[in-house]
Amino acid sequence: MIVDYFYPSILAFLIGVLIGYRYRIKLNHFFGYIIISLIIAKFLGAFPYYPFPLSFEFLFSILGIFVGNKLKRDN
Amino acid sequence: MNPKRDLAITLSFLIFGANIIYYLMQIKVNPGVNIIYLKNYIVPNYVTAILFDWRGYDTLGECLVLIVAVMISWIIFGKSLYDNSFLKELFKAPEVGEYITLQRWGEFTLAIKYLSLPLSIFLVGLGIVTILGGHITPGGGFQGGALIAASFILSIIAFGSNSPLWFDHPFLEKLETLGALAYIIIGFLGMIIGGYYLFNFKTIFGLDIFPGPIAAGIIPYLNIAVGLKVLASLSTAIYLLSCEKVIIERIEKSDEILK
Repeated sequence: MIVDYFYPSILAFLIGVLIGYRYRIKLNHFFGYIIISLIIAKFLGAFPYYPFPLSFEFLFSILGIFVGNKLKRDN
Repeated sequence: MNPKRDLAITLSFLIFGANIIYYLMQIKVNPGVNIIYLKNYIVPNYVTAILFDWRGYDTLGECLVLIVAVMISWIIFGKSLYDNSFLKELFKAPEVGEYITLQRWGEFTLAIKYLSLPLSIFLVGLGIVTILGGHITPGGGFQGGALIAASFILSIIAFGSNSPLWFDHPFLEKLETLGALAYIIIGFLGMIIGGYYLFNFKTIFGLDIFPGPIAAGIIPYLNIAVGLKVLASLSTAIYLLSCEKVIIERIEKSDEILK
């Protein structure tokens, strides 16, 4: 199943939320970070045996950091 | 800033960097046992297979060594040596849950601050990828945890007490405990299912425990546990060292006032 291949990405997202929650300032420029993340993810490449053109784990971890940062009410 | 000091730092950095690049260009690796590994496929990642599967106990021991090291760091740099209760009374500091109230200190220049925040975010992402790909790529919990701790260190160096990424003491405590406990509990699960401590089982009730193209079993979870633990340990060390700076500054200030 293709969903199985996204399992590490889901874990990356969750760990990203855990760390992103610890950022004390509000993180801006969301789309800028995502565009740079896409470029980095493309250069990183997917894990071996995973049929993806880019590293979705990296992309999802950055997304998780932003979501975690958003969850923090102080910001 | 002192211009002579800046010049000396720049020159030493350039010489050091040029030396490293020069020697890396000339490096020759003796193939050795590599030839056998490349010709005979056994597992995707030999290092992880050895560290987490064949020698799981050894890695558990390494984790506990880190815990002991951090505990000793707390003893040396923590409350026992620098009792700051008298300083709190002296400066009428507000009572807070955290051991040390960080004041504004040690900020770096604007250029470094602008670079370090995005770098710290991307370093965290890279650390997470390194942790999660530990079973099939070079990397793993130790390296990934160290990368995330490096982003914390970078953030502290650039922003000082106003560091945007801040792991407070209770969070680090929880993370450290969670990492070590997760490793031990996964080991016990292996004992229940396979009969041996840290037995690598791949399915539970017919379901893959780590779905994906490679049935890695418990190894990715052990990597995550170790990653969280190493992240907490190294961050605790830098937290202590950064707080120590504050304490020494306060002691110096209190000496001046008392004089």
